[in-house]
Amino acid sequence: MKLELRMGDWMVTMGLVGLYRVFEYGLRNGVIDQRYRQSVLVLPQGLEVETDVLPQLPRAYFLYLIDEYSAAKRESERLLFYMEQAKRENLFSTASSNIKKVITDIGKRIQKYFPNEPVEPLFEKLKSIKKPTQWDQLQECVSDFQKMIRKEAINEKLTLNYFKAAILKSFFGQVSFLNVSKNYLDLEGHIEQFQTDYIGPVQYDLQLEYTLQSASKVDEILSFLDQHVDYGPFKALKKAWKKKTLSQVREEAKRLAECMLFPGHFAFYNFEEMVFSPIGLSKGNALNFNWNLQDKQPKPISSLAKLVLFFAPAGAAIYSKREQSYDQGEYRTYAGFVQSDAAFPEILQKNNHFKQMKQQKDPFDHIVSKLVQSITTEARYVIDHLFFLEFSSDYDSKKTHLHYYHLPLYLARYFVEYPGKLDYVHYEYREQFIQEVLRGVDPAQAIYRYLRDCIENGRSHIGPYIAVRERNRIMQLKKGVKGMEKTDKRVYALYRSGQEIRKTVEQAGAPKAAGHYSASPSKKISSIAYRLLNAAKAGDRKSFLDTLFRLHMSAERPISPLFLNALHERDLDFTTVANAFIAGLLSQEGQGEQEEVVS
Amino acid sequence: MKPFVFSTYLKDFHFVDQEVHVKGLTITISSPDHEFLLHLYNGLQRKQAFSYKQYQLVKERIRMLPEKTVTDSTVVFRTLSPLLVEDENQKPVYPDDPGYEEHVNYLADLILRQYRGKGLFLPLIVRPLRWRKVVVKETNHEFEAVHGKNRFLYFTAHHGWFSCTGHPQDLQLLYQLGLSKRRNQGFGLLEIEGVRG
Repeated sequence: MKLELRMGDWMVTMGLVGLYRVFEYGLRNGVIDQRYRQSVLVLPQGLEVETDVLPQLPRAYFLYLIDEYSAAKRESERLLFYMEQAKRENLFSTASSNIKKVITDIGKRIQKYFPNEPVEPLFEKLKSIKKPTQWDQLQECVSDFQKMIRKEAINEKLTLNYFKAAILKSFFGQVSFLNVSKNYLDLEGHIEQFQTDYIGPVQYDLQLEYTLQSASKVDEILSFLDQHVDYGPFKALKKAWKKKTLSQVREEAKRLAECMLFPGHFAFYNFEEMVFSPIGLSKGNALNFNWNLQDKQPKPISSLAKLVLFFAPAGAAIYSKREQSYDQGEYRTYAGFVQSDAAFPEILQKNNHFKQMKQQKDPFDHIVSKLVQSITTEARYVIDHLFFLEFSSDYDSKKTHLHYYHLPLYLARYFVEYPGKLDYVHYEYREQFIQEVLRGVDPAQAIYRYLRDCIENGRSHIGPYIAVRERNRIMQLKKGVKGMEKTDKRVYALYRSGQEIRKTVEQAGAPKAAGHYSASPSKKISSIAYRLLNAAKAGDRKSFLDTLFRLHMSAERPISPLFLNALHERDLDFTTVANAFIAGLLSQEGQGEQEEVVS
Repeated sequence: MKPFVFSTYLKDFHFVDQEVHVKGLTITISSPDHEFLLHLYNGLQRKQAFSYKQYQLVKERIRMLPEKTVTDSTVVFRTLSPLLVEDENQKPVYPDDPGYEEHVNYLADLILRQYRGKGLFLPLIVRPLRWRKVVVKETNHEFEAVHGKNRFLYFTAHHGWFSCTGHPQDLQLLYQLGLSKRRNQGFGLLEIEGVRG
């Protein structure tokens, strides 16, 4: 039987992308037989799935995830990195202790599941390593350990544990094999559980639909229900339909709830947190969704939808990201997805591209500009609806951080016209910058944080200037301004005037008055920069200009009339004026040449 | 009316005939308008010497003075340059005249209306604390053209301290703009001496 799965909300589309990826992986690696080659087809509106292929999917699902998140691969890469570090004498002790930690942590887990593995001798050997001269011994330990962890059974077990805890747990509650009571299962056990909990119900429900249509007598339906009386929903149906005629049964079947994700299918389940925990609610709490006192099935979905949603983790790109500023905040695991109104093949391709770039740790602005570049001007309407989505969810604390990043036309134009311009901006701040921009927020806050960081750590860099200029460009594009040369020049002039003031202050140096303390020029500059930054952040134009006047007076230099924009904002806004000047004040000479490269 | 006020301070001055001889000259300029100040500063920065008639003024240095912020409704002002208050017939009004407060209010309202488009938020209550009469002798080419050389204009103004009660924003602006007639000719620059609750 052929099923048409149409894409819809992002989670459904994510599930479909995941399903297709798993299927493709299965075919490529011989997990799924070649005779099923035509069983999953990509259509413009979604996927067409032949029901015969369904039982093949669970194995492919697990093997796909094991391959994707292989513990052996991940730990080997980590160890390799530490081994490279250990080559340098001064880093040996930290690197070797890191290596020891990795090997002991993982080794203990191996010991737990595979008591026959020679883990103990490895630990002994590690203990004796203390000096940089023992690098070879360390290398030996690492390669022994790598051999052990690469064994199929070990890698399988460790990886299963990892992706169940780290990936799947943020998508689902404690359903099926994710329940703690199923922790003892091995790979085969997991596959079996998947079959019974997800594939079975889909097959039964579809067969029920088919039987209802094709049956000539009511007994045919009842005997079908009898055959699968262990399946919960059927038990209730059997009871209700026992003494009814065929036409009555068909009438009643019409009144059964319909799936809200895949219309036309019976819905025996609910969209709740165990099905998709990032945005699902538990049934008892979903009071807002009760309609007509339907508290038993507030948001009905079919077993098919449940299955598709279970493929969502394979459809998303998983990466970790630091929240908030550079020196504080924590790393969170995020799942990202690109959604648009385009045809399904395009969404699929974009997401594959997105995932690949995320794995290479490409900065967000590169990703966006690369994804946007394929869009031509003729298809501008598509840009309007392209959006990035990412979420970080924790089932235990029932907390989800969900971000939607829409890409309006002006931003699409920005990414097409100025690709890679933000390269000189520090990675962390660039990500924040782009994400604030995509969220439709003024990225000034990210620039303030960046400037503050530069002042605090005495860093001199062209980055803040670039960030200020790009922010200005984006703001101009938002307003519909076409030519950017003039404002670019203005921003650069402000930046230069900051640089020149710095130069003058530095040349003046600290006057040597006997018995009087006088701060060094760089200290003076950073204290002034702080004051200016605080005024800019608070939007206090007067205080900003006041400091600016004093600074120019002490340097005996004229003030550029461009600063008047801080007051009337005719050509540039106050934030740009202030930040461009501060960026100049913080950057040292000799970076003027870089400018040629960057602009 | 231009949005600024100034005062001059003569260092060790003495009169020689119609001339004043000084060791130095300090000019204090106040304005709430940053744009005006910026152009003024840039102009001063560019020029080292200024010639006026047969005199030559050489710039020494430019400094920025700290500005106070009015947060209360009553402040005590001290005049840095004499305060000129005249009635509708251009006759000087003395601080002990009964109409003094009314005339000051009229002036303040006019000054604020011209600068920000809105007059006083609240009428001012003016209490002269200590004052001394100052007669300023001035001339200019227009006056000379009409009345002949060596004829002078005389303005009766007052120096001193006075307390002023009103809206803090009004007071702040008056502090920056000055409160007097002929503010751009060196009358009416104020300094805040204290705040009275």
